[in-house]
Amino acid sequence: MTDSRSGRLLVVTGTATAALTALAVFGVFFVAPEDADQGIIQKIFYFHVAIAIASLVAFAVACISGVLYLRTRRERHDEVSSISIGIGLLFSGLVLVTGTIWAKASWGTWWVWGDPRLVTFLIVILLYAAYFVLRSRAEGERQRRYSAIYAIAAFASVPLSFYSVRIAQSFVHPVVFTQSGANMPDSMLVWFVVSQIAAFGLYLTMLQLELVQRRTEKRLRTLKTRVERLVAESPGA
Amino acid sequence: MSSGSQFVVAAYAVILFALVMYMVIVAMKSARIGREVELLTRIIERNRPDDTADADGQDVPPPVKVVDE
Amino acid sequence: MSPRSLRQFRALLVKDLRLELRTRDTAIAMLLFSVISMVIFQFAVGTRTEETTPFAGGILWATIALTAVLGVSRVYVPEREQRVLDGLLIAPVPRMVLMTSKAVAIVLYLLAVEIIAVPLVGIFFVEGSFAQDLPLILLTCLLANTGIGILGSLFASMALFSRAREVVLPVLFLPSLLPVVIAAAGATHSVFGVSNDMAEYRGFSLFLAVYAVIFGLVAYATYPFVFDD
Repeated sequence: MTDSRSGRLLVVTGTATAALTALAVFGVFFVAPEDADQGIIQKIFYFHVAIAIASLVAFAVACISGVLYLRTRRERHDEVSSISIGIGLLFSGLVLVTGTIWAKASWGTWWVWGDPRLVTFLIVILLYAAYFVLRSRAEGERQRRYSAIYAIAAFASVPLSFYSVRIAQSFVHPVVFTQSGANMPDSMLVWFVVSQIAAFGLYLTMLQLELVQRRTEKRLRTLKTRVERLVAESPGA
Repeated sequence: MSSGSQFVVAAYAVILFALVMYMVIVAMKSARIGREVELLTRIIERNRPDDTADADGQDVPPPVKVVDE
Repeated sequence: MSPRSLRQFRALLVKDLRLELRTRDTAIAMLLFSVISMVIFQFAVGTRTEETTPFAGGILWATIALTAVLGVSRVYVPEREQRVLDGLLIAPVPRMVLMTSKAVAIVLYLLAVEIIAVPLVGIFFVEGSFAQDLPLILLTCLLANTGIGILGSLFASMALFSRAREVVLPVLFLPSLLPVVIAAAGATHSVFGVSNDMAEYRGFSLFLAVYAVIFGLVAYATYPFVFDD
């Protein structure tokens, strides 16, 4: 893909995402009915869950790109993988923060160990923060290979962490907290779907933006070595 | 407006804050790339007159070409 | 596994175990470390409560998890010296066999620690008799060790070539290990001492088995790529 084409694609996704986000905010606050149970607090749900799902998708993409990297050894896959994990980590952080705000609003405490989803996201953050620790400690081809392996292993841990937290709690507290959303009326579901698409769009936009940036950086590095060689060879130097 | 709206505002503010911070980080990276490009341009420009003055006109190094992949 | 790689596997494992039996560096250190951890847990948690039995499973597995980090970080020590690893990697040994032998070595180190640590936790923290629970806890240990070994071999090999490997290893290893700690602590808790909840024990044991299978698949897919230079 040439620069101008990836640039144009970025403009398209970016604009679409911005429009969808605006539409989602409008729909969530002005059109969707207020939840009978939770009242206005339930409006956190739309973006909280949308971003949670988008972050899991980002981690899945990172895992698949990791597999592709191990098979093809193309740097492009490593870039997609590492950028996706960065974005997924940012989204997970947001899930955690909005989750604690929700916990405070509906249960009165900032942190609830009884909610397996919240606890899982804490574990997920630890899991993927380690990815960057590993990545910063290796170089070149080995860095890309290890990153790919870790992206695969970490993604396998995500569902396992969730189930381990859940079975541990189901034995201790038989009553599992339920967040509304399981049986939403259609008037809410529509706006949740819009928010979800907006969250995916946000992920795609960020991914493309960083891909373009990485590419530019790489070109700049090539240019720099060329200029350095040129200056060294020139008789004036 | 029912009670608890401050929590909703807080949650959305946090998301906004994160996105703006993300933008700042991306902008910082772009700024660094811009600075380096500027530096390279200056180095090339400083070397250009030298080359034409010293060389016999034959062994002028080829102009720097941006590599396309 | 072909008979040839089975032979290679046995040779690698026997080499590691023989070295360990001669020097006893790792096992003794792990054992002492686990006892020290128990004492730390006693003063961090035990002194605040009347009854420590509910905490016994948790203390045991927190101890084992930390001890496992120690063992995993030591598992490549024989190879690090005198360029043994270079020789091994040049030799026609499949990477899979090498990695599996390390995983089994970790399992055996952990088992050696657990044989002493489990009764010790029982004596220190469980009220009443616990001898009848030991077979079930041994099964939990075996299931958990399998998961820890598979994961440990993978991360130990990756940490081998990275800078500051002592720091990298726990940070990589422990988050992925968390499900094992949770489930093994749950399983141990459900049968240790007076509590005897077989449904709970089965649930946690099944989870441990699933964990081992899933990471076994991950290992199968990724082990060949770890040493690929």
